[in-house]
Amino acid sequence: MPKFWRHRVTIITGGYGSGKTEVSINLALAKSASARENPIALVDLDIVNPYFRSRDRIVELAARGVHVIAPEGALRTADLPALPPSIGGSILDQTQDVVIDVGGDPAGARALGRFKHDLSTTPYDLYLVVNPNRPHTRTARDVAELLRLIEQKSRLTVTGLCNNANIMEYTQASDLVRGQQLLTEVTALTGIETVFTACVPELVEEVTRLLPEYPVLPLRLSMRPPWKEPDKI
Amino acid sequence: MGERILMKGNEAIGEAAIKAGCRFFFGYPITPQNELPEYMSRRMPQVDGTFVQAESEIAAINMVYGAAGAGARAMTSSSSPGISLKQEGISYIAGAELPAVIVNIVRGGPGLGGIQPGQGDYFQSVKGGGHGDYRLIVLAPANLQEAVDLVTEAFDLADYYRNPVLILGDGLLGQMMEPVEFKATKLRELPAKEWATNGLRNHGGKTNIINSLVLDPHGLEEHNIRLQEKYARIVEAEQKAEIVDCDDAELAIVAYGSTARIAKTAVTQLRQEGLKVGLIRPISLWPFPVKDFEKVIPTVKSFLTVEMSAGQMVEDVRLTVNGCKPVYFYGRMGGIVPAPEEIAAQVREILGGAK
Repeated sequence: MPKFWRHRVTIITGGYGSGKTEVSINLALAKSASARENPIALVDLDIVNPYFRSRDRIVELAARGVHVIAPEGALRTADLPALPPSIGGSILDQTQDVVIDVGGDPAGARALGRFKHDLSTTPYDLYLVVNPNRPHTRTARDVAELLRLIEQKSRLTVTGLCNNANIMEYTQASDLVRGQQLLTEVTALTGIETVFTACVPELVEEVTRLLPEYPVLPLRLSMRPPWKEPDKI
Repeated sequence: MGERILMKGNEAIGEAAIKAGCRFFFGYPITPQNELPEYMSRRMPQVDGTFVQAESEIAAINMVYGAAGAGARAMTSSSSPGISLKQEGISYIAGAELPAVIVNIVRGGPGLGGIQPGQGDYFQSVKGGGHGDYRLIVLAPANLQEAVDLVTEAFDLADYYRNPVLILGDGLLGQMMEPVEFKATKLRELPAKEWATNGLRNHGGKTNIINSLVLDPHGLEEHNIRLQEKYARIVEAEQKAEIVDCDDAELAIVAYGSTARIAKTAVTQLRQEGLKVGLIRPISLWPFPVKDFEKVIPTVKSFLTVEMSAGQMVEDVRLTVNGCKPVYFYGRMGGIVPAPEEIAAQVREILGGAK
């Protein structure tokens, strides 16, 4: 298994609509497939988005060994900052691997700040997912500013970048190469380096050849509108 | 082809408005349209525009009334319950003949309802949600590029006819992401806003008054007759629909917005099974695209209207088909989105029953 993570706890942040949920789901599945002994939990910490959240694929993920922690009952379809207590438990439980899918922007990252104390007990990776095709993260300066604000609101430190320069199923390998060029500029500004690239499965081989320094996480797309079949996960 | 940006529907609508020259946005938060005011609050200062988070939806629509009266391109947005609150202001704007663009990202109702998508605001949008004999031009995009293009067109239509235009979306359209492109297009020649209350120096010392109060009944009737003549011109010139695979179709599905995309997936599936099915997708809900229906009515044997409602647009479909062919209905409510297979099953049942 390529090095997408170093620690038991992996936290995914990023700008609104940067692809955090798709990256989180696929990372959790990769953890599940990597024959680790620990059970895998995926925490849906998205208090910002009303639709297209990892809790929407709860059944399919359970079948693949990923337990989704999200608000339950009527709260599941609400957009309220109601966080189940099992989130803190999953961070503290040394026998469990966790991927935390945080809501977008500094507003979404604020919910993460709530777990600063729990997170101080365990080493973790905190990644910033970057999609330069999104309107507010088109320059390195914008990304560096977003990173600073997310660190401020979450009261945590970003440890790595994820190049997610995809345009859904319309992505070309050159989009990800351009994405990495931007991330290299972000590294120059912040000192934080790219950890991995994420892209649609069909492009993994080409992207691996073009960007050999970084492992590539294949993204099977789960968050699809009802007229499109989601990818099999 | 220009540069494509990956956007959420709500953001794309906001950026399209800014590209169309909208410099005044007044709004109030409500899910599932919050990204739109949020986006505007970020973008308006960058383009020397004005963003106000008003104290209520009622305040926001009346701020639009003021800005539009002064000749500016102004917009507000909300979701179902918030749009209900705006209805008095919308009637005033229509009565005073002012151009404005209003966006409704519809959720499940009635009342506070829920925050998942719906299409239960069709009656309110096209039959006059406020008081009096007025009409809104109502446009219903089905994808984000079309949302961008229709918002651009909405500002031109509003200026051209001096009439408010409603963009009727739904939660899915507001929340989903797609790549969009912003094209610089000039759609039509627009008259100068000589009626605007923007200072005497701007219209040769003539006093302009923006008002919807006409106490003399004869005067008010004349005003209404003038409005009706304008609406007749709009009905004649501004009908818009997409017709898919209807040439040899036995059955035409009728659906707008997100539901039309789901229906399109069903049509593709049914065609593969050898069933002759097409789709009529009204884009202008008012004026209703009667002319497009007239092309299809002689050849199809039946219609199936699909909505995320208890059946609202189906009434206009029945008025248009006027008893010539049977019109069936299938709907889901409460924020439940029909799956392509559900629609396909309805079609199979209708066509099977006809054999």
